[in-house]
Amino acid sequence: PNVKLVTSDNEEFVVDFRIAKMSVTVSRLMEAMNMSETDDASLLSNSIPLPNVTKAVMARVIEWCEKHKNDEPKEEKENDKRGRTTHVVSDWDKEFLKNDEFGRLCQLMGAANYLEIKGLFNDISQTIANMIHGKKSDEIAEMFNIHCDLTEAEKKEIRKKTAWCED
Amino acid sequence: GLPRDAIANIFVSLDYRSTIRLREVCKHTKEVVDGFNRNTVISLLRLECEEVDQTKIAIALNFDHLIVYRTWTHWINTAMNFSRAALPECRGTYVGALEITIDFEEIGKFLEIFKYLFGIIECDHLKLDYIPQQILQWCLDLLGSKKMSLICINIGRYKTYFEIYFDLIKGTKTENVEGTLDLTTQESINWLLQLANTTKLFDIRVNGQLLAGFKATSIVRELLHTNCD
Repeated sequence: PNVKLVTSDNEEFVVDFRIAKMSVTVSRLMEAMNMSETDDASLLSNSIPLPNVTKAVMARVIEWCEKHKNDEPKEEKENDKRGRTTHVVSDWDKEFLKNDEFGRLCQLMGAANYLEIKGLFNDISQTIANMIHGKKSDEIAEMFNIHCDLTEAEKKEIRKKTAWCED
Repeated sequence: GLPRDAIANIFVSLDYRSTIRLREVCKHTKEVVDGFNRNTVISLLRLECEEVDQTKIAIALNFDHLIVYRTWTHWINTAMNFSRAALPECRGTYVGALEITIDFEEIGKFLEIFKYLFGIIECDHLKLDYIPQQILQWCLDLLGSKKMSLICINIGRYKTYFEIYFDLIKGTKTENVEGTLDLTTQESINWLLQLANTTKLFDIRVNGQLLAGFKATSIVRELLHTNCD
């Protein structure tokens, strides 16, 4: 059975019931609308509105869900020596996310958060964290193409307040 | 911008040093890190020492939000270099409560970290039990202008730094004070009356023998003439 999802820009996506169920938000909406896997009529006559997700982002979310629809539930997270909580991002996921610029990653993460797709949400969090981890502020700025609008005096003041973290 | 839970999830996956370095990237990233903390409310900050043995200090922080609790626990653990074996001393007894017991020598480092984190958040209640003068002075420096709705103090029998306590209560504009006090010195009686003139409501339980020559009724009579409700 298929489920119809409608994005904020009125694009309709028809996805497999199992893929729709990967989103906790969509699952709840289907339940509220009495849509069930065994009732084709309920699936055909209803569509799920997703006003916080655009067509472009939805296409990426569905691509991720298609790849992960048969995954076993993951055992999550382990603290490393420096206290980082690490989520293992698979090679496929690294490849999937590697060409997204920071703005697009944030959009995708916002959608994963809204749709409550935990695996995707954790993949993106970890990818962003990995990009930032161990880098100096100017390296982070360069990587994300950010212009630093702090004055030297402001930077000095910030460093003074958090000198403890550079031991 | 990203929702708060999304930012928190990145921070939890990031070491504290990188998170703090984000504050130096630009005004926006500084605001993301500070904003995350600024929205934090610590419903209770409790500092507790043994009345006699003051070699260790227990610190408890009750957070309003689980995700913030997780992030702060992570930062404090790593910044203090608490190893995994030491983690039982830094644990949550219920959702959102972080408890740490540290040696007195480590307090300097903890306070440095805390100064940044605490400088931009809100704190509702403060509880101080038998706190030595040095820590009390730090509380005054740190909390001096932070508004609190309640301060609860248990003043030990022998170590009574009334002036600092008074400055702390006055500086935080706290109108509600609770605690226990021994009225065994003239200084403690004066402090009680001074406090009653400064706060709106207070609930002080009196311990021990009253100072010789003083009658409870005369103190109560004086209390009734103060500004306290």
